[in-house]
Amino acid sequence: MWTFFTILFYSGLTLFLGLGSAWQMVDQGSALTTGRLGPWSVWYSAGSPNADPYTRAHFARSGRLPITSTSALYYVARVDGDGDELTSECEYSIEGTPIDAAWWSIAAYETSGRLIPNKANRHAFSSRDVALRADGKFQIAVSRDARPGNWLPAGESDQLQLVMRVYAPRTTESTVGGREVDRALPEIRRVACR
Amino acid sequence: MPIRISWFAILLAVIIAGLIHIATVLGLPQIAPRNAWNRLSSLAEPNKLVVLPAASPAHQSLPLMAPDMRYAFCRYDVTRGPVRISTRIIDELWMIAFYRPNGANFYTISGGDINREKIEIIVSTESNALLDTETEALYDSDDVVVVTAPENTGLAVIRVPLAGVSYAERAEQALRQARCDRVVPHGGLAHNRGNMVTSIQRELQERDYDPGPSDGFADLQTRAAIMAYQSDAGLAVTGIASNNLLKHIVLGEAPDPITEQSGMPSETSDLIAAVQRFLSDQGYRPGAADGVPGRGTRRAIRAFERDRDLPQTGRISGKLIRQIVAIAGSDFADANQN
Repeated sequence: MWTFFTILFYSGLTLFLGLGSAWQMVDQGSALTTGRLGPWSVWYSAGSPNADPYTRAHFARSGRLPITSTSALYYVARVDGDGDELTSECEYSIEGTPIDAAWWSIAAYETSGRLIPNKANRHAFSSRDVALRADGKFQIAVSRDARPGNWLPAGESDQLQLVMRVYAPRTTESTVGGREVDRALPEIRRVACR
Repeated sequence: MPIRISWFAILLAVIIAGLIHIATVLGLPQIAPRNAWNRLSSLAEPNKLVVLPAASPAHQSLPLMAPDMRYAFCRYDVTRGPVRISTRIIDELWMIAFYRPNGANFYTISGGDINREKIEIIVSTESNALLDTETEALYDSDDVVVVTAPENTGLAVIRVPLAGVSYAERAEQALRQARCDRVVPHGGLAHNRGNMVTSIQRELQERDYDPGPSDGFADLQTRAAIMAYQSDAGLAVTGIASNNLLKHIVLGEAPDPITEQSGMPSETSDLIAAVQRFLSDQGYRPGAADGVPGRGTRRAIRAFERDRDLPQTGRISGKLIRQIVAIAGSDFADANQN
């Protein structure tokens, strides 16, 4: 005889597998829908009229309104280059060469999506206002305390995520079929923690 | 209490889990109450341009809004006719993106794509688009872009990435001057076009073709009335308002066969197909919804007219469309889009 507990066990297993896998693939993405370039992740068909159901569900749930990926790309980082979760407890250095596009910008948010309150009222650096070094690269410091040069305040809560917007990205041979193979994105390096 | 392990039960669990997975993923967009459409819809009336406040820690209209960009949007609704968005293009980074209510970005244009200082965008669906001649009469054609929307409603979002902090004031000012409104045919703006269509409507009204109000907008009923007139007068049935047609109605002049458009334009076949679908739904069996008014279609229209106490003509007319819209309501107009 099937006992009550056996039925409960299988029902629970079914729900856990079904809802859990759906949540995982909608919230975090999968190899089918998202690409990972170091710490950065990108939804390939964000905003596209031909987007797959996972991408649609992801952006419907998030409430964002992305521009289709031929006109703009959105990279989100929640981890540093070593794969450790970003936190405003630590100081990070973002370093890279300017991205080949009409405009790009790196902004810092709490993981909830809220901009980080700070006295300097600074939330982002864009291709138009980031200071470049003599070697043509840029370096942005993300930290609680003020830093000389490009300083992005990390705020008092521990939550931290970075969003890089790239407008009118120029296609290169590395972007075969709209999929990013190895666009040179900035590195995120942990400098020190409290 | 021991739990019985059965491979069959595990397999069944995995299969049902797969179905739950698919249903969840497909259903999420429908049940996400805080999607971008709902968030922005609550901020503005339709066909009104709204400048969003700059994103700050205290306030963001959408999650993950860019702090170094300024946004404005218009929730357009072209059910009652085309909508016009007119704005200054500040620089090559300026961008306007059109979205369906489900968030699909079906059209984008940026300052870098077009080298101009201002732009007029006419948004319409395929079924209620302005005619080329009408658009030309209305606007300096160099500045006009026509956007065909897949649905009656959607969002147009203007983004201005800031080329530096001092730039914000300029961007906000330009966005405040942008406009989004319905193309009003009998207003001052559309007088050229309004005159011709309004005259045709008035003339057809006098001749009892029931083209609807003389509002200068060639809607379904007006186009159907034109078709009835053309059919009675032995002209090619196009359903299109033109100066030649007006001359024919008023003066009885035969249209010049060279300048007059021959063949059935797609919006007219769409209208016929919509009528066929409607009759078929009502059980009148007009045959396939092929957009061609064949014998079956004429017979079905006659039967419908008989049941509604209308004169039995068997052709598409203003009266017929008025009856259909009275029964099917906006569903008919929606079906006509496809």
